[in-house]
Amino acid sequence: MRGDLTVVSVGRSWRAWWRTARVQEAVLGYLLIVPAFFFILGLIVYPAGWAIYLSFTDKVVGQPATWVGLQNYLWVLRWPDFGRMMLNTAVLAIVGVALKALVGLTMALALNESFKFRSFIRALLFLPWTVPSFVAGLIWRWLYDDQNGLFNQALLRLGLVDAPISFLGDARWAMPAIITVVVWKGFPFFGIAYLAGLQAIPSEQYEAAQVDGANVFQRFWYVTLPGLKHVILITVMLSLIWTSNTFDLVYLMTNGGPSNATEVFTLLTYHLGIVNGRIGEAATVPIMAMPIFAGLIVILTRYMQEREEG
Amino acid sequence: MNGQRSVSRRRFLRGVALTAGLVAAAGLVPACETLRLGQKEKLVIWTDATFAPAADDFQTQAIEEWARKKGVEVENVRETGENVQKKMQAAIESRQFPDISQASGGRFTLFYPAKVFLDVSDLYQEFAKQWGGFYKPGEKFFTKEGKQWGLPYSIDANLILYWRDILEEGGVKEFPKTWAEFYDVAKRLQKPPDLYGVGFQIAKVGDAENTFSIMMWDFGASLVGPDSKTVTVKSPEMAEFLEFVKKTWDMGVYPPGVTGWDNASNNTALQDRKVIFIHNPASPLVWFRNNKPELLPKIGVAGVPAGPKAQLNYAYVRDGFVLFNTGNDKRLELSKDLMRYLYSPEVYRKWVSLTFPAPAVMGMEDMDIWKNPQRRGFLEAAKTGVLDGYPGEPTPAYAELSTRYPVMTMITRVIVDKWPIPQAIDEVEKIARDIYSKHYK
Repeated sequence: MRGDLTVVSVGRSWRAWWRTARVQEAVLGYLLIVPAFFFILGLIVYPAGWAIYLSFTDKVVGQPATWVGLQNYLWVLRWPDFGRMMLNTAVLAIVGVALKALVGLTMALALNESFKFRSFIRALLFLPWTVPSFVAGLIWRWLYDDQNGLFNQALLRLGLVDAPISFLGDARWAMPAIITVVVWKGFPFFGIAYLAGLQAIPSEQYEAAQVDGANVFQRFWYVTLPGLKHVILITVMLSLIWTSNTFDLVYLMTNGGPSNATEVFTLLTYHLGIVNGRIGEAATVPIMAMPIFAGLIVILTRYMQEREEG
Repeated sequence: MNGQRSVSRRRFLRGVALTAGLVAAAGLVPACETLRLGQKEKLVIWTDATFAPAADDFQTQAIEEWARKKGVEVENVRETGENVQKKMQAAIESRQFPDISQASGGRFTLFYPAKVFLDVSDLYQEFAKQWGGFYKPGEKFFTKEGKQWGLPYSIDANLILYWRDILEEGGVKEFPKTWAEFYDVAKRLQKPPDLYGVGFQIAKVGDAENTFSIMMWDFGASLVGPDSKTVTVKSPEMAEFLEFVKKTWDMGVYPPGVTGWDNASNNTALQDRKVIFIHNPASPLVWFRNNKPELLPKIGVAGVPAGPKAQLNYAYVRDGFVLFNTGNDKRLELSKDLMRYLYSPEVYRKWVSLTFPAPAVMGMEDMDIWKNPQRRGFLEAAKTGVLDGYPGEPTPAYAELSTRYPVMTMITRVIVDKWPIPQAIDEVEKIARDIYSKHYK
C-alpha cells in the first residue's frame, strides 16, 4: 500500500516536472537537433573515423581489411616521392594563394576607381571564377598543348622558339603551368572580396591622409592595407585550405606527371585508392595531412571569433 | 509576459517540428512510390564509351530495342572505361551491383578475387557453339578454375600505324624489321618541329604501358616469370631495354610533349600529321574513315618490329560482359536474354562493322572489313597476340601491378627524373614484390 502511494507520488511529480514549459521546450529543442546530430554523425564523424581505421589496415577493394598498424604510414613516408609530393602541395598552395591575393588586390584597386565600362569589366574579370574546373582544365590543356596549342603555335610562328615547349610534359614547366591556371581561376574571388573591403574603408581616412601630405603609395600602405587586413587574412586562410585540396585541375592537366613532378596529396590519394585499389594506403595520405588543415581551421575560427567579440 | 513569450516560442517550435514532419512525410511518398514502381523490372547496365561512337550508339539502340520488345525498363549508363572501373570498384565495396557491366580483360582480372561475378559458363558454351568458338585471348582472360566468369565480345591489339606516303617518299620500301631500324627510319624522315618521328607517350598511360611492355618483352625482359608468380623485374635484359629507350629519347624522335600526353594524344598527333608512327589499336582508322576518308589510304599498318630476343604482338579483351548476382532470378534471366540478343548475328556483326577491335568469336572472318589489309592485321594480332602477364598468365596480381604502370614508371624515372637505370629498376622490383607477396603468401 505504502509502495503504491510512493509510485503515485513519484508519478505525479514526474508528470508535474514534465508539464513545466521549460522542460518541454528543452526536450523539444533536443529532439529538433537530433536530425542535425545524426547528420553530423553520419556524414562527418563516421566517414572520418572509418578513414582513420582504414589507414591502419591493408584494405583492398573487394577484400576484407586486416589490421597492419603503422605499416601504411611507414610506407607513405618511405615512398621516394613523398617529400616531393609534400613540396608540390605546399608550392601550389603558397605560391598559388600569394599570386591570387596579389592579382585580386590589383583587380580590386583598379575596379574601385571610376571609369567607363567598369561594370562590364567587373563582370568580365569575375568570369574565370564561374567557369567549371572541368572546362577550365580542358581549355588550358589545349592552350598548353605542344602540338596544336595556342601558346606553342604563337611562339613557333613568331619565331621565338625552334621547337614546341612542353608546358605540361616538362618537369620544369608543369607546376608553374598549373599554378597559372589555379591563379587564373581563383583571383576573382579575392578581387571581389577585396573590392567589398575597399568600399568599406571610410573615404575620410583617405582625405585625412591626403591632407597630411601622404602620397599614393603611403595612402595604400597606411590606409588601404590596414583597412583590408581582416579580409586579406580570411581570404588567404580559406584559399590556403581550398588550394591545398586542389584535385580537378591537376588531374585534368597533368594527372600528377610528368613522372611524379606535379603529384599533390589529393592526387596521390586518388591514385592509391581509386586507380590502384589500395584503400588502406590511400586513407593514410589525407589522414597525415589532416593536422595541417585542422591547424589552419582552428586559427581561422579563432581569428573570426576574436573579431566578432572585438 | 515571460510565460506568454515561452508559450509562443513553444508553439513556434511545435510548428517547426510539424513542418519538418510534413516535409519528411512528403519525402516518403515518392520513396514509397519508387518502391512500388520498383516491382517493375529494371535492368541496370554499365557500358564503355569507346573511340568508335557509332558502334556505341548502335549498341545502345540495340539494348533499347531489346528492352522495348521485352517490355523491360533498362538503365543503360555509358561512360569511359576508366569511369566504369571506378563505379565497379564502388559497387563491389557497397555490394550494390548493376545487372550487367562491360569489363575489359584487365578490369575483370583485377576484380575477380572479390568473387562478385556470376558463372556464365552456360552462356559461354552456347555462344561458342553458335559462332564456332572464341579466340584464345578471350577464353584465357575469362576462364578461371575451369569456368567462365565473363563473356568476351571483342579482342583488341596494338599495331604500328604510320603515314605510308612519308615512308615511300623517303625511299623506305620495306617496313623496318627491328626496333633499332624503326627508330633510325623515324630519325631520318622526321622534320621537326612540324613532323616528329615517333608518337609514343612517355607517360603513365595505358597506351604507353602497352607499347613499351611489348618492346620490353622483345628485349627478353619481363616483370614476372613463366610461373606467373616470380618477380623478374631485375635482370640484365631490363637494363638493356631501358638503356635502349633512353637512347631513343636522346635521338630526339619524340615530340617534346610526349611526357605529358594522355591516351588520346597519340591518335590526335597521327591524325594531324604531326608524327610518322604511333602504336595503337585501330581507332585512328575509324576516325579517318569518318572524318578524312581521302587520307585513309595513306595510313599504313604494320606489326611491331622485333627486339633482340623476340617479336611479339599484344592482345587483350577490350569489350566483354560480366553478370552480377543481384539476388533477383527474373532479372538474371533477362540479363541472359539480353546477352543472347547482343550475340545474335544481326546485332553482333553490325557492331563489329562499326567498331575497331576484332570480334572475340570466330565465324566473322568472312566480313568485308577483314579483306582490307589495314584491318586484317588487327584480326590476326588479336588471334595470336600475347596477353597481360607474359610470359605467364593474366593474374590478379599482374592486373594490380599494371595499375601502377610499372614499365612506364621505370621509363619516366629514367627520362623525366633522370634516375640511374638500376635505381628505376629497383623501385619497380620493390613495388612488384610488395604486390606479389600479398597475393602469393
